[in-house]
Amino acid sequence: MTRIQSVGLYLLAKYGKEAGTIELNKLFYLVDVASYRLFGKTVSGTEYIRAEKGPYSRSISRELCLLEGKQIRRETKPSKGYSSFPKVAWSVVEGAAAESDLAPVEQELITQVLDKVKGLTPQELERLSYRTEPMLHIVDEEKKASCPLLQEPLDFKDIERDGFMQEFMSNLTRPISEEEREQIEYYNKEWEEVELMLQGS
Amino acid sequence: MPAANITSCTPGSLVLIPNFHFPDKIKPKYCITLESWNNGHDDIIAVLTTHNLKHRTWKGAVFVPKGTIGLPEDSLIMCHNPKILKKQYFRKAIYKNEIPPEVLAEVLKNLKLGHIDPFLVLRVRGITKFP
Repeated sequence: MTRIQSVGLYLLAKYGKEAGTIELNKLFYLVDVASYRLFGKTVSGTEYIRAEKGPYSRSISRELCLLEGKQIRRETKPSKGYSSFPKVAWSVVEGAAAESDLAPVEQELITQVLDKVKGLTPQELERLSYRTEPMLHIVDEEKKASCPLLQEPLDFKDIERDGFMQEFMSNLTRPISEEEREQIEYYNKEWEEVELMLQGS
Repeated sequence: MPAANITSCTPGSLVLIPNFHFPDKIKPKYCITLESWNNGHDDIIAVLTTHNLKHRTWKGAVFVPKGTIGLPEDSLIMCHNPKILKKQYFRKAIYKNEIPPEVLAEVLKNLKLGHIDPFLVLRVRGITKFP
């Protein structure tokens, strides 16, 4: 399974509803921007271009299509808006998230991004993507050139890094062992139980 | 000092606990524990209650202001080693939101962040800037 497929499965499963292609691209992009800001690399590993409706990656649809009929569902529906193009709705089958092989830190990142965008419309997601540094930069360049720079790649190096995380990551002395990973996962489950108990009381 | 879970950590372990309920005036979002911890679920809840803090069930708790070691919220360091933290410091920390500089220095010296899983750091810090 590729990185894009793993991210797609987990993201769609946690999103909890169908996502249109543009919506899905924006979600991928916002996750990758957040990841780059914190860790200096994207989760999906894909590259984005400046498209008419903001950041876009051709690879996302292409790679997720390969899982169609297995973990991914893709339905074509008539557009509700003014577009004459039909809408493609992406979703996942039940249990698909478990097949994603993302690291816990990547899963946590996606969960936190989805929490931030909960309830936003696709248009609001698009507006949010325009407030990221790579989009701000290219829009600025467009103003200077007085023409749209469609298809131009977006440069993630424009993203302002999180200083603390940058220092933290550079000080990481060794990777976490499998044993420690198991302990952390155990602790997380335990913590969820405690939260449920507190909510119950 | 590897990351560990709340029930099986060894002396010197560091465990970050996202907080849940806290006193009205002091609302640290996270607790950081030092030293071994042999208690069960009930005591994890006890960490989070005002009652236990005020009655000094715990041998030590240090208030850590927002920004220290990169924490985005006011936090507590829970400490079971009386050598590191004395009761009078505990009381002061709880009621005045202060920590003597020498105590904070002693505690922070033991916090080797480089050994903590980035997952835990992300879990407690959250996404600091979005987008």
